[in-house]
Amino acid sequence: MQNFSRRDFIKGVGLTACGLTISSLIPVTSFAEGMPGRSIINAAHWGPLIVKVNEQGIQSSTGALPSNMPNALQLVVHDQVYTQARVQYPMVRKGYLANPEQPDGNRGNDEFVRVSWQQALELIHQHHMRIRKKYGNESIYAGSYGWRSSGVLHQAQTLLSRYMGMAGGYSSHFGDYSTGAAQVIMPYVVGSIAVYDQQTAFPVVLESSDVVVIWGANPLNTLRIAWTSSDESGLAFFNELKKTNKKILVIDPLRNETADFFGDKAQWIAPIPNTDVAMMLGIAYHMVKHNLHDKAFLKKYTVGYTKFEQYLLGKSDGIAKTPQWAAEICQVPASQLEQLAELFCKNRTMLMAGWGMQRQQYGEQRHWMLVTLAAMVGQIGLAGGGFGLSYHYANGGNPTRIAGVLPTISPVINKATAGANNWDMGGALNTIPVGSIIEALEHPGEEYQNNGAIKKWPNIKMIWWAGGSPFTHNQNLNRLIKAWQKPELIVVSDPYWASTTRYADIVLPITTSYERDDMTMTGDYSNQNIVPMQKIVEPLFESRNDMDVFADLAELLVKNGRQIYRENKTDIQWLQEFYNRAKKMADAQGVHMPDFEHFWVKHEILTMKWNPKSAKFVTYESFRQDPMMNSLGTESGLIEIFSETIASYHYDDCPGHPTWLVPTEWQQNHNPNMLHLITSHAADRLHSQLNYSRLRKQYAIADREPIIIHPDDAKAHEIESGDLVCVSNSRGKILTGALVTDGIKQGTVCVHEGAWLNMDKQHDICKNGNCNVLTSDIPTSRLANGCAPNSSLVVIEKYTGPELTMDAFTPPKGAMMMSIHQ
Amino acid sequence: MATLNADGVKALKTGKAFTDAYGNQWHSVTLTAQIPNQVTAQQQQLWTEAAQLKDRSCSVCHAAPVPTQMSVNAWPSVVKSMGGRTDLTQAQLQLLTSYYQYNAIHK
Repeated sequence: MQNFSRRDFIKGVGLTACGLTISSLIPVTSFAEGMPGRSIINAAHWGPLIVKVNEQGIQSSTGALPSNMPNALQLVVHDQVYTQARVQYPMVRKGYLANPEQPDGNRGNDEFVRVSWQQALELIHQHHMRIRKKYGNESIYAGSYGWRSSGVLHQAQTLLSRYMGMAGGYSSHFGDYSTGAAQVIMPYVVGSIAVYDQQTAFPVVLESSDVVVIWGANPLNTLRIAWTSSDESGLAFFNELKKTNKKILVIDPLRNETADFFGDKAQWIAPIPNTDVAMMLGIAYHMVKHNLHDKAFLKKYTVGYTKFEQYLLGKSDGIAKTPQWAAEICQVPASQLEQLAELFCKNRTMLMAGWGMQRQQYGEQRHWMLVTLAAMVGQIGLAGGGFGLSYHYANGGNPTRIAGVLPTISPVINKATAGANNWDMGGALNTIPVGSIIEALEHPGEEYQNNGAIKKWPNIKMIWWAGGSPFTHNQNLNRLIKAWQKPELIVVSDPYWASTTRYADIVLPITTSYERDDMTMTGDYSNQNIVPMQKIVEPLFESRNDMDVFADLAELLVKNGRQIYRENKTDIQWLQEFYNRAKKMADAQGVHMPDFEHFWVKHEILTMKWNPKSAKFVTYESFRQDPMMNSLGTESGLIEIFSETIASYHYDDCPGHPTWLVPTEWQQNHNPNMLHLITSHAADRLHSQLNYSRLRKQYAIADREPIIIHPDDAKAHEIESGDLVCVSNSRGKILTGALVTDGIKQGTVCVHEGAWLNMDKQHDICKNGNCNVLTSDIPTSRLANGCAPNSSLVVIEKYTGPELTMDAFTPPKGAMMMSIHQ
Repeated sequence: MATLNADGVKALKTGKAFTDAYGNQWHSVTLTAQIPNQVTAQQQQLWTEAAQLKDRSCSVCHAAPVPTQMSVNAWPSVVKSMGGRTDLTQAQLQLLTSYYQYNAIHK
């Protein structure tokens, strides 16, 4: 993928006026380089930023941390603020406004009408109260999920919960779309979530690992972003890794950005999707047959290996999981699997695994088998050995600093500070697996199985979505569109007319993070920095902060509700309080942080103290040293290759030890004309964020999301690079642009997730190529109920139908008010 | 929340033994002892305080987990790993861990 250069960016911006007022509250340091104006520090998931502004508004942006690794996402702050896709005014769906109790028309198929803020909030309040009274607190779904903007104060979802809690409670979610299966199975296996645990430190890997296996992960792509704000150390680490002579393997159906980055220095191995467990079993079989596995480790640190070995050797089911058996399934030669077994066992090997492989049917099995494989190698707890499930995410492996950590806004009001001791707060009254919103909407009140228990779907009658977009991240969107019609009211608050916004009854325009004051940590694992996020421009049009919107609604709930909601604090007072709590923590550890006033006025990035001890951190080291005193959080205290607890649930979709289970939707049991669809993360977006930005020009093909096709498959379907391709299955159709390359396993196609939904009603096709129109919304299993988009088959054909204009970023009818064009 | 020294171990009255699915033998025990420090008569107060810590610190990046989401054994490592992202003190993290364990599945 080509990177966007800084020069291109400045050239593209232009200098025409847009008539914005620039915040004059803060004296700012001027940076010498570049055009006149001021440079203001802010931050996003893609790292701390320097944003240049003048009287005409935002001119350019770049990363604020010293880095030699480019990150194109940092260059488009301008587009984030000025895109035509901004929601400009409060809007109500025409059919809803006409008759809120019995609305006309369909969500997503109606035009919008501009209303005043007061009218919008009163309408919400009236019907929110009516629905809550009629159906109960559980009928309000406030489980908004998604990558809301960075910042400790303006957290859309938390602020929504805060308001809904004040109103009496709500239904919410648990788990996430990223690691739905792994985060549930790992506590049974290694006694912690593992996917969000700190990793063996970068310096240890660089010093001690001989072999680094990047299995189903694409760190060069996904380390452009982090949950708080990227500390940018991960990309630098992989750059250092490239300079060493270590053996690097990239195992992925796609020759991804990471494989490209390592080039000749890495070996690319491409199994077909969904077969990782079979592949690992083949490797494990060779270890046993050649006595390579570490029996002493297995005996001392694990339970259940014997039962697993009976399965591996075919004693329990009559099928020996030989490399030849595995090769038939994963389409990697048996000899290569044998070589991998030898390589892993005879060298210090770090298995770095990603998460896409567990976003598949039976996804729980993937990392369970990976941990089993690592246990057989016997290097868990040794420097540079074992496994890591978060090297591709949020700079896992960057040593944790000695730091003051910023607290954040809470979903629960502190009654003492709010002066509201007589006010009863409700919380999350019923929680659903986050990827099961369709099931919940379709089956209110029915029971379902989850993680050894029986739960009941809430009867959802109102949804408020803030800071996220289910029409991006949920699977089987045509089914969601239908289920989404069931509630009586849907409110979306968002800066953009993104996928979900268009399917709301009431839309509230929210500020971007460049139009308000906030702060953030960098480094989800490292706590490396505290970054001021200062307002760069005044809010565009009538956009407002979530905090102010919910405070106004709180006032409608109860007299003085605004002050209760805000706990009598202004934004800056909140930030000051958070900062002082971090400072207190820093002071206690001998780390200097200036006073808040100084920090805010100087608006510099604070760097926390390096911790030499963290730099030597090795996961499971203390467990290896003393498995009795430092036992794991599993039932046995050891690594569980067989789990008595899971076995006791009697789930055929998640048995008691790692097992190869044939997916329902899988090429080898379907029409060979169908191809495997994988929906990996895109390099030039954060999920759907920035889809509208100028970066799209670099990657879109025929103005659509690309589909990556192997030359043999392209030939068989008479498709060439640049062609419009219709991708379809029983769930729906999307329009994509062909990118034909040998950088993908034959039989597999990739459409990156995150294209904004752009349904053409007449032809029933997404014109922008949103892959989740096609993905299956089955759960991973009854254990975790994680999402499983990567177990979907599709058909491709060259598109020859009528010309369909892509208008994903044009506001819907009635909502286009003023041109924002610069 | 409490550890025993050698005298404490001696003072234990051992009851019935049972073997779990993993072949480990467990005993129920009784201990009568005096606690010199102030203690609370009501556990609920502790859990209310712990729940406030949970609300304040465990929904920063994700929806706050409920105690029944994990086993009694898993909570300590989960809280330890997640706690590094918060401003909670060691004492607060200990209280939070106990809250999750007491209300967890598979007690």
